[in-house]
Amino acid sequence: MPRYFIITILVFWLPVIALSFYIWPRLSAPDKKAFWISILVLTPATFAMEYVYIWTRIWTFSQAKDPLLGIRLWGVPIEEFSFWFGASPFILLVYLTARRLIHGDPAHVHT
Amino acid sequence: MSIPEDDEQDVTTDASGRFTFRKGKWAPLWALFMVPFLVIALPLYRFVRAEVDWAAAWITVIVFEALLMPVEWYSLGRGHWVYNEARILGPKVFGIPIEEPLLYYLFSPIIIICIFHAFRKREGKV
Repeated sequence: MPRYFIITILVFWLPVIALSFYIWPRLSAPDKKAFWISILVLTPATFAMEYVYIWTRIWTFSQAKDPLLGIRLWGVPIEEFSFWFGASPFILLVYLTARRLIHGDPAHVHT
Repeated sequence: MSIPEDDEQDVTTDASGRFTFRKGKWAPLWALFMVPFLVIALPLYRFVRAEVDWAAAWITVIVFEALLMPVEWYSLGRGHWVYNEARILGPKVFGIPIEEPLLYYLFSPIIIICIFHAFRKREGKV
């Protein structure tokens, strides 16, 4: 069972979808635009960082217990990108949700 | 084969069944790689610190730490990724390199939130 991939879905992508249902309709247009621009900047940055970490041998992978999906981009398992690309929107949506829950009315939020 | 696939052949397990991997001379790059991010983050923080909701930011850090620590403990135990012992400082928390909770789980959310507010501040001026 490809547990690594399943974990990235459970830990990041499902919460991203769930949080989006709640917070996205409550965000202002500038917040939404800043969110997407941030993701557009962070996605290629994390993509490049992964290769820096791999080429400098920070970590490797093992399939002794759980197989990977078998899809790789220039040698890097696709699970890595599912992890990295899920983390940024997860963090931002948790932040925006926490901000909303703390302050309620967006008029009370710093702009 | 690529670097990752080559290195995967060198992963072993210790007496407790934990995956181990060591390649190259000791050079704690995992910790050192955070330095350029912090160098970039400092002026960014100064630019947006009045806009960031720090209560929400710290809640985000706590959520990230609380979620990723057990996830990483589990994933390391399953070999989803295996740190190179020659690239980390050495000290660990529940088998997790200390760089994770002290650097990456702490500063990554703060930096990402500051990036968001930097763009948000620009939108606010439009």
